[in-house]
Amino acid sequence: MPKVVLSSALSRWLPQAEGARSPSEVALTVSGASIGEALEQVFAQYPNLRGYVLDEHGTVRHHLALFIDGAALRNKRDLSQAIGKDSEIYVMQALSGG
Amino acid sequence: MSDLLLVSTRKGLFVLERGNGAWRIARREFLGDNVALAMCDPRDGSWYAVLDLGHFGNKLQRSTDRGATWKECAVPAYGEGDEVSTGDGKPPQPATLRLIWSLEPGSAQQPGRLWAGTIPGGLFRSDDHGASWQLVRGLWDMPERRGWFGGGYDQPGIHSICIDPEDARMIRVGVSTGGIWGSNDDGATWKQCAKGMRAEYMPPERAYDPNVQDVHRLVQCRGNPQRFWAQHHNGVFRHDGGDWEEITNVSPSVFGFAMAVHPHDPDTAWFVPATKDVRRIPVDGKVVVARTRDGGNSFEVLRDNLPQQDAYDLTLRHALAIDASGDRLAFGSTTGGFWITEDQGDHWRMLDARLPPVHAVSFVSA
Repeated sequence: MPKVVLSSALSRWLPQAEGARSPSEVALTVSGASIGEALEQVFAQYPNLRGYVLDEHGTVRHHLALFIDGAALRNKRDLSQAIGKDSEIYVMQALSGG
Repeated sequence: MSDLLLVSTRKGLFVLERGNGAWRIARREFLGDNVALAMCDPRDGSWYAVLDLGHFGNKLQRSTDRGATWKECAVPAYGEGDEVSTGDGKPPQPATLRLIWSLEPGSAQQPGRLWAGTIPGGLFRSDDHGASWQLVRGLWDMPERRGWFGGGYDQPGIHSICIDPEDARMIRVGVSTGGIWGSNDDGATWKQCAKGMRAEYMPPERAYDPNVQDVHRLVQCRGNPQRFWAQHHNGVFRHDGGDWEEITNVSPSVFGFAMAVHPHDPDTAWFVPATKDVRRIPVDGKVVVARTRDGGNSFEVLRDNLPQQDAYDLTLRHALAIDASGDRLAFGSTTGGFWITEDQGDHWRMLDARLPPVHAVSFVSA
């Protein structure tokens, strides 16, 4: 089954993370044949997460990166890319300081 | 008088409380996160906080227990086809929420009503405490909106929202950069209200064009809603129902961002001047507050207990607040300085803390 991995910077905003002192990476097993379908399953489980990953037009946020089996998503507006049954999608924030 | 302050900073929301005559930090919320602004809704005591999370966008949080617990609300969203066109030659782009730049409650007769001003220029309305938002089309669809442009940010935005305390259908918003827009019918129709303002940064033939005026902050006197004050990019302006009048004698400078008007006395107002637009630091390294008590005919420079040497604190547009009594004011700076007065600015006290950069300050209604 495909897996979606949320970085700790993202998983800390999940409802269950409230009160957690040091939220950790979260891995979710999903189904689906494309990146978009996999993410929709994550959003069904955590509705508030949609606005953290995508903007209001469904584009992956500018400062987020998606890696699918080690390769970065090239077109942040196109989530139709097919994934395999054992694919891993890493959702992570771009690294920045401040 | 209010004994609680919400201080929104680059690294969290700090709740200041007054006890035994002194102010101290009582709560630290969202520590480490960028809090753009916070406000207390006087109708039901709810607190709202806008988080501007660099990676994950803007979030709105609401607390109904004075900051003990928070719950995430919805945020304004633009629709398919909404486009940001600007008057400074930038190519059009799809509109996406960049920042909730202002947030104000509706009237007591409008429970749940909130207004949010955003970058890139949309005004939004909620009638359910922020659970859902609607773009105010009447303003967004004005052709003149496509002539607005960013002032400091890449895209234009609404930073000030004034709801008339006597008639909540009368709304005025300040736009950087797009002048002042007003509606007298609860947001259905809008007109430009910045006539009389002067933009010295524009070519001479455009200097009095209301739609290019870079208003930094717009405030309305609650006790006399006919009176508005504006801190503008190149000056201070006053409004009593006709054209805006320029006030040129603010000491030590007419440039700045933050201002406040007394809640009952329309002639009393405060400003936190900086040198000028290309040098956004206090004049001569001295932090001061300018106060007028006569509608702008004259100004006092208040400096008691404010740093008077090598101080480079800039106070942003939302970082000066006044309470409902009109006696207490507080302001914070981009270098984390924070000062409170309880006598309208005659004397100030510095908070004993080194805060992160301060974005916004507001009093919690008593």
